[in-house]
Amino acid sequence: MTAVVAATGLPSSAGVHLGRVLRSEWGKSWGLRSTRWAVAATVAINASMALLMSLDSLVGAEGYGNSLAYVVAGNFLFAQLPLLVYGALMGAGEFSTGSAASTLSAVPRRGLVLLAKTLTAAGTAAVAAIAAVVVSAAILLVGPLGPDLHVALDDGQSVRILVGGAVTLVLLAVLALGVGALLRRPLVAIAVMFALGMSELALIGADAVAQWLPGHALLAVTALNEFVDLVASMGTTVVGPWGSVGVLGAWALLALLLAGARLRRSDV
Amino acid sequence: MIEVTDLTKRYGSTTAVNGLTFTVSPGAVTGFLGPNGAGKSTTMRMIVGLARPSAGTATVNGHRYADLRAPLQEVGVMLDGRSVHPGRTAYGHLMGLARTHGIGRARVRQVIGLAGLESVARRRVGGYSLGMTQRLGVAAALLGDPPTLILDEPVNGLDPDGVLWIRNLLRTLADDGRTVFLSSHLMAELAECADRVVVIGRGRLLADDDLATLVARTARSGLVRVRTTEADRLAGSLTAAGASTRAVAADTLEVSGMDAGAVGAAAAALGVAVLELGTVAGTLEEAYLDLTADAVEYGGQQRARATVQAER
Repeated sequence: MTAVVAATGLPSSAGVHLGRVLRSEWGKSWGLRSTRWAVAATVAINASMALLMSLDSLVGAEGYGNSLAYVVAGNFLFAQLPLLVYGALMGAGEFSTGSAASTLSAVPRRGLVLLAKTLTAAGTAAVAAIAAVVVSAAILLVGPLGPDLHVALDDGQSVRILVGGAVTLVLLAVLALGVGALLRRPLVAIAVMFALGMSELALIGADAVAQWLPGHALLAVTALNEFVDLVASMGTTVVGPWGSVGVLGAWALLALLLAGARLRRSDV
Repeated sequence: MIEVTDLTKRYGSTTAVNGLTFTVSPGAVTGFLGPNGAGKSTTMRMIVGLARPSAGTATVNGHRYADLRAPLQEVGVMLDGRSVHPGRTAYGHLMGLARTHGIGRARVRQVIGLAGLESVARRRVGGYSLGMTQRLGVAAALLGDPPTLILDEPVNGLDPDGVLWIRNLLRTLADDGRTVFLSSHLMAELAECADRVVVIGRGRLLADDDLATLVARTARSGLVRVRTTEADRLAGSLTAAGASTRAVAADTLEVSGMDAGAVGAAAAALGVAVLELGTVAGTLEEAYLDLTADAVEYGGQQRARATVQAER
């Protein structure tokens, strides 16, 4: 064997930049089983919950209304769980397996790696959210309830529920990534994210506190107008549905900044 | 070219690497020798920017590693085997690294071939043997066809075929004008493949020299060893001629202060039959033990000696 043969396939322009690191992280992420499972589980959980909800007699003009958006996105609270696991693994996995040493010796500008991972997690969560909505909607529309569901996407409520819900899922995955990269322990990060993600259930009736936590956005932004108005009329909250998405975004940014500071300062 | 200057790493009250200064030049294989825990891996991690030095600097080709524009194409790095995600295939791992530099699929396939991993490249790394993991590490280091290689214990866990393979590979790379820096705690291995040796113990530099020079300096190097039927008579004659002798077996003497030719002539003059006669060449192991024995004297402690003995 010749040890050194003329190398082929080296780039014409040498260098490391965001585009290349992003392609690397995207490929690395989708190359893992856990990522494919997380996306599949998000879609499956959401479709199952939507199907269950459609069997509820309260769907329809007499109950929750016939908004398709609400039926397909109203259960993101459960569909978020695989994405929280995915985000936490994305942030912490390379540290727990030791592969961070490979990654960071190829890309010593650590901020670039964190940015590429963030964009990858956001993109993957967006793919999962859109797939979950489309698959759930398709299943419902061909089902017995289909003709009764209101599919118009031009009303403010549907846009808020669908776009706000998807953005919230993306931000939750990014928050999970930040928490994972900060803690560097996948299981601890997953536990923290489950607690944050589901905290809203434990804090029902305590909106004054809950509105400032990252778990508030998902329920708030995917609620029906009637519920949003009801909460607003109680006067205990100052952030509306979109405001709560902003609060979540601030938490995600904080987690990323802390993770970035740790990544910059500590050894790998 | 790797330049390390006053490099120091402290963890709390422990000093893992202590004021290390040495240079690794191109065109040679430089071994980095020391017992487990001597600070070899820590030093290498500081050179490639994974660990932050408490003091001092390390540069590769004149730049801090973090400032290199395309690190994979300037320095090939192989750290311990645990630097690969077990859920990834060898191909996936290498592609992940290659994409950060825009390196194409063709080069990934090429290094898989160089490392002899074709048959397992699509299997998850979690199921690899230690030897296969090491080969993957070498493949990753070669990915960018770099002029400098930093390899941490590359021989560990390789089968005899693999050992031979990596020895030839390192030799070819050095002959090609590249800088090759590899660590090992196996003295025999470095004796086989290194031109120069940097020796550290307890984080301090003990030697930085040509392998041959280092070995020639050992205490036993240059001794003449002679096996004869009449050791006592020969010893008497040699001592009278000004040499000093030591009986290492009933029929074997080690002679210092006289070369092999003179010993042979003396035996002939006495009419003593010589069964074997030769000059003792030092070994890297002896050189290493001499070095660490000094370190023990300076430190006034037995701990280093214990470490060395555990290592053997």
